Amino acid sequence: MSDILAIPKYKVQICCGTMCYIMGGAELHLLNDSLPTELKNKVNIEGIPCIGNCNHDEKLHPCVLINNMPVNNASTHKIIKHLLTLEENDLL
Amino acid sequence: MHNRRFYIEAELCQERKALQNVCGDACESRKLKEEDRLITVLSDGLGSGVKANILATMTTSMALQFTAKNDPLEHTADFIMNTLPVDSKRQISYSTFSILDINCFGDANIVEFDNPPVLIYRDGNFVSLQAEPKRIRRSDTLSATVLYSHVKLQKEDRIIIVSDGITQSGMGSSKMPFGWGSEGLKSFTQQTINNQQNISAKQLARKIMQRAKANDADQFKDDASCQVIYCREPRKLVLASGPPYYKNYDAVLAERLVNFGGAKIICGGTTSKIISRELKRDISIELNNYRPDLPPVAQMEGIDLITEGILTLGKVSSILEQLTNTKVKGEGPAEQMVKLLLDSDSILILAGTQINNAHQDPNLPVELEIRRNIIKKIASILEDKFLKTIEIEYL
Repeated sequence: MSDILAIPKYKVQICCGTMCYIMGGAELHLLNDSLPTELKNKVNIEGIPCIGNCNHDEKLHPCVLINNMPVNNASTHKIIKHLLTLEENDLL
Repeated sequence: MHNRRFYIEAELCQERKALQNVCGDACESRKLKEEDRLITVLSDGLGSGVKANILATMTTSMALQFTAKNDPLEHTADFIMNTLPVDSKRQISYSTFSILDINCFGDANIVEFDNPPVLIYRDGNFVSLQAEPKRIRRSDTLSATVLYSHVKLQKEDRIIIVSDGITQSGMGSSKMPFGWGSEGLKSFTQQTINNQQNISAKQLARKIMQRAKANDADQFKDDASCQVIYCREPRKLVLASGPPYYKNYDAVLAERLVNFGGAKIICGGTTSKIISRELKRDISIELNNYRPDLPPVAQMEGIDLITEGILTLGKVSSILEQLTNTKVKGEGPAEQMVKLLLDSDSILILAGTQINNAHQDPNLPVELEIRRNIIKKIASILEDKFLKTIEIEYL
């Protein structure tokens, strides 16, 4: 049981490209500090180089990948909400 | 500055007399790119503080201008002596100077007036200069003797020019009642180089300064300057920034980078992805050093530094612009890059010319400049202010 807990369930990859960074991505780097207790130790946060979403005309930044699924216009709030939804679905 | 035989690294270290706000010594170096020539002038103004600084600064800039224009030495010395303002208390106008002029063949002309002797270190010993004294007439009845000497520089030579704050440090103490002296400086230099054969000019200047300060019990009794010039094999660095205009040049860029002998910096998210793809090496980004101003650095095997592109370059340019010496504080991505740049002599910039469409939105902050402009700016600061050899290649 303890082994399962040690491996983070969710992988959050934050785009570190210029556009994402200046459009609010910088704050996402502090995500770990704002995670609710039920998600602590379950999330692995890392940076990735620009994923290329900034070449589209639509405004998608800042971009984040959660378990390789893109989440656009991300904010700390939006990411946590997304993670909590995943967690709830998982429990069901 | 680049000679065909060796690269010349020139570094200065300066400290103020205790309780003074301004250093009364002045030292300036200028690289004449077209002639492949380096001129360094060190001057010590009479007294200390602002007045001494003005005397010294006037002397250095005059000496530098005249020497650059190849004016005869007599004229230069004469002009300096007659132009300096007269001290109201002591009724003399006075500042010392040492002029060093190295041409493209490695011939060094040295002119000295009243400064401690210029030292030339070669293979564990000091070259004894055949100085030719020349008398300069002055408006007051005193006449001054200026020493003129010439030396052919070789690779691995080091030239040490100091003001009397260094050689007279420790004067009056029981250990060295007459000060450290040129002899003390010589044996210290020999020891230091012996311990560390390839010590850079910057490190050597700093070591001499620290030792002199220790001699004076951490309270300099006079302004102290130490300029070290090292004729060395150039330390090379390559900076790759921006994707090449044509996609089929991606492989060329990666190959150039991986085969380069020296330090390597990649600047730009897309650029690092191209290199990662071409070399099949992974990039990892650590998020544990949060800095709100710049995106974090990344790691890749074989590359010394990987940073974000345009924002970091902008910060590098502003740091370089504001730097007054070669000490860089801080650990951020831009500071790391500045340190690497300053620790190199010959820098190759591989600038990709593809323009990032996402950065052309007029609603974005003005920091998003065009890469080519910012690279040109960084190159010109490194060249003029820090005397580096820069080559820019557009891909």
